[in-house]
Amino acid sequence: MRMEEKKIDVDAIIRDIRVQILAERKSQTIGEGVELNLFGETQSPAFYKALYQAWLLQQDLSVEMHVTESTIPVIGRLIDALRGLVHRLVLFYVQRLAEQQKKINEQLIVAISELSLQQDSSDEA
Amino acid sequence: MSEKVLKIAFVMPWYGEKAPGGAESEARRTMKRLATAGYEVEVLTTCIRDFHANWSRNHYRAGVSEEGGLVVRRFPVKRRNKPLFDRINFKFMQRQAVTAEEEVTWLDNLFICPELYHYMGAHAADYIFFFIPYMFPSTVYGCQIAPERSVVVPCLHDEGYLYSRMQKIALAKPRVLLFR
Repeated sequence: MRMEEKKIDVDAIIRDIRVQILAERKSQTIGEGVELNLFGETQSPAFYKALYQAWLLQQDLSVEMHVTESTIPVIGRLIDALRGLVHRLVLFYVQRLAEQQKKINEQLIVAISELSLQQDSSDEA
Repeated sequence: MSEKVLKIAFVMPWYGEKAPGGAESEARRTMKRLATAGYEVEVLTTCIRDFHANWSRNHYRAGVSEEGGLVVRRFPVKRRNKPLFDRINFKFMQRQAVTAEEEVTWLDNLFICPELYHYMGAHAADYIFFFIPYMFPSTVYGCQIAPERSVVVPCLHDEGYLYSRMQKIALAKPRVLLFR
């Protein structure tokens, strides 16, 4: 394989990467394909903080299994097993609902972020 | 006219026969296999001892050495601002919002090794570069120097750094991303 020799300006390349990073200063990629406007100037700092917190909270939206142990002797274990079964069944449907709600929340957060980004852009113009 | 045979260079933040870490042992294994298969393999790295060491300290002597059958070229690091780096790094680790300015500061104070990049720039035509892992300036800056001959083995984790602007920019450039 033959490569063409050319002079590479390494310092310029490094400077360019810094410029590219700074050019994206207004948004932050929070998840796959999701960018939030977290560093805008038109809203109060509390707005951007709340937006970010909302994003973090919605990521953790789920319901944990929680079954208290029965203290009844002998048949206590059977009661626990039955309770567990019922809880798992309920949890199955609740978890599906939570997943849908997460998607809705995500879209709402992105929409709010978009609105604030548009306001930033129109204020700049 | 005979064709020029390119060397394979693994660009890593640090290198040592016993340096701990998943990416480190993965790179060592791969390099040794490539060398055994007849490829000319070199390590381009800093003088830092390993992940747990002081990243401002040149533990190894700068220059070329042969270690375990591989040519290792080490380049010296300069003193970095650790307290400033740690403050921003904490935000990444807690998945807090990090500004673009903080990202640049973080990247430029992780370790500072300009001679590594200058060597790569001056000798880019001699190598195919493999960068492992993602995140470090040796990869973020390094894989932009000759992106058409750069392979990044990112060893990704779902962590704050992954979603940063700098990684999005860096990982878009190299010719190949190699996942395993």
